[in-house]
Amino acid sequence: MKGFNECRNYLDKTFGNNFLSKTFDICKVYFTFGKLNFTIMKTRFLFPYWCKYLGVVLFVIHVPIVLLKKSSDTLHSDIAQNPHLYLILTTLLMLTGLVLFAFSKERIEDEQIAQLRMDSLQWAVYSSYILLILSLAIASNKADLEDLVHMHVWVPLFIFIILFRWKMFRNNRLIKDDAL
Amino acid sequence: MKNNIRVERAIKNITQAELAGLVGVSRQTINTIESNRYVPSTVLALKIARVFEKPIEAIFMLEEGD
Repeated sequence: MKGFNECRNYLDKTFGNNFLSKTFDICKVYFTFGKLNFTIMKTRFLFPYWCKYLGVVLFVIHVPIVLLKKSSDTLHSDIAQNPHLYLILTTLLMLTGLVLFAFSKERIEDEQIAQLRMDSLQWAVYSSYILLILSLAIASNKADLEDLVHMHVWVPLFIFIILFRWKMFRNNRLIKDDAL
Repeated sequence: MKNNIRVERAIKNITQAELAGLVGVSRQTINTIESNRYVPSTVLALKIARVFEKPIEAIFMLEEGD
């Protein structure tokens, strides 16, 4: 609390208006009362359970479009002709699908699952950035660099999904070994 | 930290799934707490203690290295 007040006084002194301090108060209320959500053991900001299926559907839809484009480069189809439409249909569908799948609730959501999710997220971010840094270091030309950066759009999410699913799978298997 | 949830469950004659339902978590969570692979939050520990109608220290206790 002391830190907040010092910072607010500093901002008031520097800018001489109340706007910033009001904003600060709002943030303070948010950060104080936002924590209430942790005490009821729920993870915040997750999509509902059915979004998991929607995510899979969106991801599956984008696969035939990419394959179609790859196999019919000479064909004069609308999708192949219009790069913008193609981008929307593939990259956006894939990304929306992955995000929905990765960040939707489990059937029973609790604090242990929230912790597994956090662990997986942390490791996914670590490993994907290490991968990116290493591959950028050994990339030789500009085209490679662009490809790598494009790849990094979905790699962290992908690693996160695999890690989280693996941890959940292991968790569920242990309970079978230990069934009472 | 160790716990005797397994014993308390046997006394009260409820399964992991029933206990999970009573405190509002998944069965896996109860399982991992029982096998000392997960340390529950204070809120969850208090809820579990309330189900067994005992003080929290009777169910969860610190170990040597804690």
